[in-house]
Amino acid sequence: MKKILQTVFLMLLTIAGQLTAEELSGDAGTRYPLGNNSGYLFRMINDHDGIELIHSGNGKIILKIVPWVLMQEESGFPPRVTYGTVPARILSSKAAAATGTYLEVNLTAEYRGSSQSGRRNYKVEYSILISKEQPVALLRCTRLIGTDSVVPRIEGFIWRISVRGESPIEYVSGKEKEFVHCRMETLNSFWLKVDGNGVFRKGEKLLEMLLLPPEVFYLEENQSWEGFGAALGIILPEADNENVEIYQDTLNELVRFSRKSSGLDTH
Amino acid sequence: MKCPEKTYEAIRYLKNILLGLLLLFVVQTADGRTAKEVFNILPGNELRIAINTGLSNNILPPVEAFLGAPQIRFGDRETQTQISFLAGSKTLFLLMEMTTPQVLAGDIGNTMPERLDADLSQEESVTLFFDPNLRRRNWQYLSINPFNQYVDGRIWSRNWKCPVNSQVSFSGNKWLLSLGIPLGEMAGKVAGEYVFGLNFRRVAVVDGDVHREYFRGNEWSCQEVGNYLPIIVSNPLSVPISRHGNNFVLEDPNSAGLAVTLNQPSGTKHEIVPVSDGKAAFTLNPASVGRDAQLILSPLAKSNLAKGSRFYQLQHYFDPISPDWGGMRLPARGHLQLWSAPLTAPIKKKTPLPEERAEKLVLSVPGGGSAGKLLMLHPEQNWQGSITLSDLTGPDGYILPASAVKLYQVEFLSVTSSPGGYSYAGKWPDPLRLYRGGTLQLRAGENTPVAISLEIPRGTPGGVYRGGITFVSHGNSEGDGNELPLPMEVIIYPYQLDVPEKAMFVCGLSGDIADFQGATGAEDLAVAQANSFKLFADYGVSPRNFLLTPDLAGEDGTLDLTGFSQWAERYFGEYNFRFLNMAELPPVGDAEAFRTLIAEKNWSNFLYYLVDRDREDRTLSLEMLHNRLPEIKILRLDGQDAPGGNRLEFINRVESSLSNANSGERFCTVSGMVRYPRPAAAIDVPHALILEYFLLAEKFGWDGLLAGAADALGRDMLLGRPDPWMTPRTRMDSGRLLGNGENRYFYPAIARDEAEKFEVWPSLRLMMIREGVNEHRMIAMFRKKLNQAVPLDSGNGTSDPRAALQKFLLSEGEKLLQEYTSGTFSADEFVINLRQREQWRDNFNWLLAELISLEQAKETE
Repeated sequence: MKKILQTVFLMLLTIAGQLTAEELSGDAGTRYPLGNNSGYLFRMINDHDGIELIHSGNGKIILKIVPWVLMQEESGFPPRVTYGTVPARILSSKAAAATGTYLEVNLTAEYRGSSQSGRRNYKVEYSILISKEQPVALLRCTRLIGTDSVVPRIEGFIWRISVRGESPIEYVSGKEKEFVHCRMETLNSFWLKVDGNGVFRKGEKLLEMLLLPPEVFYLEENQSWEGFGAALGIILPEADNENVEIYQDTLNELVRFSRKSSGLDTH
Repeated sequence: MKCPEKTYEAIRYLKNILLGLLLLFVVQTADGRTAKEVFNILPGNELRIAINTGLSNNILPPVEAFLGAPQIRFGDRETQTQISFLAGSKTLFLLMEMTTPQVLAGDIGNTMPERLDADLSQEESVTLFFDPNLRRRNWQYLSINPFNQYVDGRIWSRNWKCPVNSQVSFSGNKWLLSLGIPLGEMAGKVAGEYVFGLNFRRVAVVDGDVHREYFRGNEWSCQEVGNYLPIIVSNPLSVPISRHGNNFVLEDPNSAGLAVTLNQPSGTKHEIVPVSDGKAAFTLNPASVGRDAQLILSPLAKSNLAKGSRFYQLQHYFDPISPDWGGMRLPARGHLQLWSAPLTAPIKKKTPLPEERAEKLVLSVPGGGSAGKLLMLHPEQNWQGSITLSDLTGPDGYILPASAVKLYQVEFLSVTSSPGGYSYAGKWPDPLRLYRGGTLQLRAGENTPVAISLEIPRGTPGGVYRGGITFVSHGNSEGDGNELPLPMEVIIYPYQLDVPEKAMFVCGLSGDIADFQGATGAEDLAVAQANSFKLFADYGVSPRNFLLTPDLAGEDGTLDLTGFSQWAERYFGEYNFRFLNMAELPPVGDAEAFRTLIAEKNWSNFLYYLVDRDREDRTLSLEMLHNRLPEIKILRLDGQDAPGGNRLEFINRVESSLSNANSGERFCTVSGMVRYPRPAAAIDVPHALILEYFLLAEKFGWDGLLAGAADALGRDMLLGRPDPWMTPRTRMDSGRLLGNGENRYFYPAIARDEAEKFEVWPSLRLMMIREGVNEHRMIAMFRKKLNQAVPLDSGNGTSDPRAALQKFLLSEGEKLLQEYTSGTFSADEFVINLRQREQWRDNFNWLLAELISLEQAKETE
């Protein structure tokens, strides 16, 4: 009997193991586990304002990652400059590609609100690459699409990460050091890494990565913009004092794949 | 304070009564919204290409077909690029002939076009930049090399796949590129025409170095509309459109109407004006036009074929100075009309005479301070003559010598360039030529401004000082030697302005002007530097990047402490500089003795270490310095890409801020590339805007302002150092254009003899900076009083009326400060009222004088 129970338990474990490698679907959006035993899942729910990282046990939200666009417009006489940052809500998400070691999910999100100076409608396509083995993920904005008849000037693209729980975030400038270190009680620690120029801004429980395009541009209606900025890497080490450099190779691989997949690298 | 002058007593008495009322009820009479709007409508020099329906849209025309076609060329002889244009009904054809310094080697030409994902900007290539519809928004590019390989894209992304038809051939040291691009790829149709902007970049390798040239501009920004060549491809028949001011008229009974396209960054508007009685008239409404718009007018033919449009560039200029800027008409002297204006007034040669009248020229200034005013000479007929000044007699027979007053002839500079929307064409006043006597030639009907500058020594008693300015006519119709006196009064407020405790305006010295003047060798440079320092000192500005000379190091490399001490006595004492950037000073040797010296002399207040983000390699020496001299203040330049995106905040308007790592001081950098509603330091905006810096400094609690340089000219790729008298636009040494007069507050003197060879002349803007520094000194004094005021209460429980007055003055002073930091002295945040500003300064001076006299009276008890 004991033997049978052990076998059943092992079978269940195997099934669970298979399941973790696949997506977990349900009413509450689509979920993708991060790594093989990180204890976290990425959750994407349509019409929610971003990707959530949740605790696989209690479903508690740890992080929320929302794409924002920073716009600028001049209006009136004398001209007044209006800046606006506009968040996008998820329209759809779809697993696009997978290998034995990682999974790519493509998301489409949009802002559809009242069209005001500095707050114009747009659509954004972005992707998240999730490692199946290690607690490493990579986000990249792949395309920005104008959906407003008024043309705003695009000043930047922002990954805004809100952190739930106690989260004194240590600020490090994106240019000088590549890591942003965040400590909190609910999570040992996590690290963000950028593969190009990025600027971080720290709020109390908010972390922003502002990607500045090489040149400002105007988001014309029905026109799309590709190759927008660097990717954002997220590393969630298992232990507080773990050396995250051991995940560097995985992150580099994700960056390489992401560049190819978004058409930035053709070689 | 004893002031026997009756008038002065009366003024003071009235002031005392009126002060409270004036302060309580801020004058808000002027309607700031009546400020002027000025539009320059410049004909855009477009290139017209007639549609040739005989050409196939798919086959590249032979070279002979381009004979007589519209053509442009650029570059020097060795690297010339020549481009001819033809157009089919749907395709633009270009024949490009690129001369190379050497014969190109390799398998070039006669190959099929091949799209690359590579960077061609470092090798022999030519790039076309398109601005579809000339909207100066998003641009597209196409680069081709002699191997017929090309790269295309939109801005930085490679997502424009242009269906290019191209062919390359070569002969000798020339390669020929024949190119066909579908017109629809570059522009939408405007009234049946194709309108777009075009620029070219040629990359040639000369002696192993990459050499770049642009068709327009040495350094080119793709979003600067002025850098594009507007191209119009249309039916060759053209119909003239005439313009009178803002009115445009098409006279063509055969047209169906006039198509009006107004391109602005905020959007594009189309309008069709129908033809009636053979005419279609369009009136431009200035209020609907933002800055640097383009206007494209196209007649609409009944056959629905365009007949050639007219392209205009509209430059919009909104005058942020209220019309009530405080001009005063003075009594005329013969044919010579005279009037005065605040130093900050936007005076031009044809500015009309003001209506308000005054009997005399009045300037006011506290002891130890300085002041300036503009006196305008406006002869009805051509006039020549000279000006003399008398001594000014004050209270108790105190004489203020004529030498305390300096007269400057204000020179005008021609601003012509207008790319990037940072310039306004026209003649703008700025350089100041010291008047040393001699004959002035004045033109009839024009304003000739003379800047009056006053430097009042500390200790000069308060009161009214009277004297006069005399105009001596030479050889005019009213007779030779006629003396025409104008009474002048200087009111010296009865208090002494404190010597500043820290730097309020700091400027760099690039040495460009000395170089332009031909300074070579240490001796010349020393003379040139001394001249610049003299100006800095006179105008209350501190040099920013002065570095200790090696002379101060002894033979063994250690600091010559005695030499440094003598030098610093002069620098901080005589010149009164308040800023020493320690960037290159390693106080090797006896650091302890050095520290003791600067502590004893109290110089540590003025020692700074500037750390630029671009020069972080200095971190090591920073640490070294900091260990040796912990007293040194560290100013870290955060730069434009400061974390937190300061582009979001107002602060991006002033480019960047400096924050002090160890003592909390904050400086702010100034730039001439910023226009209203926030200030600019360029010459082609009303000069009053320079004073806005000081308002902002006060508002945001900045300790001082930093400007890049006071003598920058930059370098032109072809012409070397540009002559600022000819081209007011400043450049960087890399050739990048800055604003007109940016980083330049000095001018090279037009020398009369060898002795003046390295002289520098000041500018109106420098005089304005001095005015701002003086305001800051006043405010700093008041703040000190506010923080340290000893209550004048007698302490025995009886109420002292002076204590109540002191309290009243302090609270009114705070209200005045509030008014100052609100910025513009007018109801409209975009409009500055100079008259109110002058009144504010007068009120604040009197308030400070009263406050000090109260304290002094208490002390003498």
